[in-house]
Amino acid sequence: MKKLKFIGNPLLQSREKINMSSDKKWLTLKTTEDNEEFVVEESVAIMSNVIKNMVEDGCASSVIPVPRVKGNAMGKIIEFCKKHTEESDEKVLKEFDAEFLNLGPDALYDLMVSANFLEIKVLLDSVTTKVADMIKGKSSEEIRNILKIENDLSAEEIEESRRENCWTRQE
Amino acid sequence: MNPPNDTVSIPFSDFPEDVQLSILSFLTPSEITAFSCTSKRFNSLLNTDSKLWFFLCDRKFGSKTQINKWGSGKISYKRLFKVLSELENLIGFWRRSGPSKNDDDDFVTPRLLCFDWGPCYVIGSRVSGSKSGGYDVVKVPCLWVCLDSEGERLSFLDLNCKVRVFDDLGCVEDELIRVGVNLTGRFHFVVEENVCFDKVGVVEDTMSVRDKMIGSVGNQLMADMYQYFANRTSPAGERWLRRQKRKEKERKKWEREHYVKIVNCSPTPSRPLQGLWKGICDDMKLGLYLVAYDEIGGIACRRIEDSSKPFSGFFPMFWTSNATFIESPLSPEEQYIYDSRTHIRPPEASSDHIHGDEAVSRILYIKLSCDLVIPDFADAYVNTQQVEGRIWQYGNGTFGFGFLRDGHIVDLKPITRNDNNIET
Repeated sequence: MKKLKFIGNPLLQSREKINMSSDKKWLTLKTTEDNEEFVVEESVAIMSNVIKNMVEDGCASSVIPVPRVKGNAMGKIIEFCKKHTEESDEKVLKEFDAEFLNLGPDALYDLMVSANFLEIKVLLDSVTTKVADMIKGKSSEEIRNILKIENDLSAEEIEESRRENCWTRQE
Repeated sequence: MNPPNDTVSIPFSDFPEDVQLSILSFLTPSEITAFSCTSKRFNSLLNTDSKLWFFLCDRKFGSKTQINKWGSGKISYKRLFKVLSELENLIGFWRRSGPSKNDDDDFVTPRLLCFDWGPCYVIGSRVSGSKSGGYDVVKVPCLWVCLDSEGERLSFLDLNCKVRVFDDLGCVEDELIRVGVNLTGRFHFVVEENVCFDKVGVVEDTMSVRDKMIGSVGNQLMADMYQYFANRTSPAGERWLRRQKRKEKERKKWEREHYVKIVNCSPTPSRPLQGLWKGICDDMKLGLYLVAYDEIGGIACRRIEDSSKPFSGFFPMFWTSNATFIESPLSPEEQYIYDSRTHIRPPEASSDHIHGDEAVSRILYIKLSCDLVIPDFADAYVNTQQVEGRIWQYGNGTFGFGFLRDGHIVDLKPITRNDNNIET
């Protein structure tokens, strides 16, 4: 039994059902990996450039299959896009993003890769900023630990690289 | 020991490339250097002109300028990032400092310069009040800074302000002066003439000079220079050289000028009068004013104008040692002082409700600057009526100033970098 997910305030669900037939256009996004379906407004869905192009080219049917994105990530993505379409206050959005991105590393990674695949610039920038903040101002050794990078440089190579790029430190 | 949330789930090297670059594009250059020392692979990412530098340029400068057009698109993004980071310090308002040896009857070195980003250059414009009688500020381009195809800076001074469009630079090559714009620190630069054409011996190879110039400054200029350098000993080359030398004798050498950055260009909540303002003065021209706060709670205002007359150019207008406002409601005497004045504003502005809220929200006591000895004001220090004045701040944050000795208010509006770009 497929579950249709309405993204929105559960209390408003009945009103939303009534509005289904009004002037707002609705799309169904189906994650092909785990067969979950999500009903969203077109104005929210087209925050993804990929979906936007499909809709504009007229090749989007009522159900759009979305590969490579898992159901959980899709749900979070739609929540993000909905908030960003509804709200225009910068401050409110910043607070929302900070709260929204309070996720574990796995969920964060899924979100990042999905946002990249679906070409949602605002979301990708938000998540990548958060990852960038993890390594800002840290030493090379600390960065290796955070990003799980293996060190294969010799001490001389490191020193040479620092010398070549000393102009970057004049700020 | 990092808390669990502070590491990534899978190694960074396994992230999709675009995601990696997006993350790195938020780092400052020095943070990128630290990152580049993590492994061989990321080391080469930094040191070669990889996509990373494109992402960095795009992140920092993509919204301000067309990064793929600088230096005719021939320079590495790594070099471009370095140069644009330097040039970014130029953006904003600068005022000329010190006396100018270049001023004469036909020309006044700009007192107020505004640098803005162009598609593939930075343009310095002379800023002055419009003569049309309105609030319009006129910005006329006179200093062009671009890059040649090897990433070296080329700067040109257009003394007669003939060039409006970058591509036309080549058409007036006779009248351009090649200059160096040398920044010392973030708040000071020197403009001085670069006499490079005389250094014949320095040029190693004609083709490389020609290649440097292609596309950067227009075909005519390039063609002339190529003709010179390719035919150094030919009659054509010698004629060109003689022509240049003659031109240079006719025009005296451009003396170096110093410019100082106007750091505080706009009001802030704690300094509501700070910045650059414009308003119609007694002479019915649009004047430009700079209001600055000092460290001891005082304010000074000077008028900035392009004038070769002595003592003008950066003329003191008013000052106060106490920047504390007196809030409304005003006393009846103060209200009378305000009500009995005429506002000096452009005619079309009067009906525009520019000062939406005519009601004065607060006032400040100021004094007329008497740094100059003016015969009429011989008793100025004794007679306070002559020097006292007021600032009336309106509800929308703008203000007007006036003095007790006359019945005017000069109403001011802020100047911003996005100001009208109308040219005479």
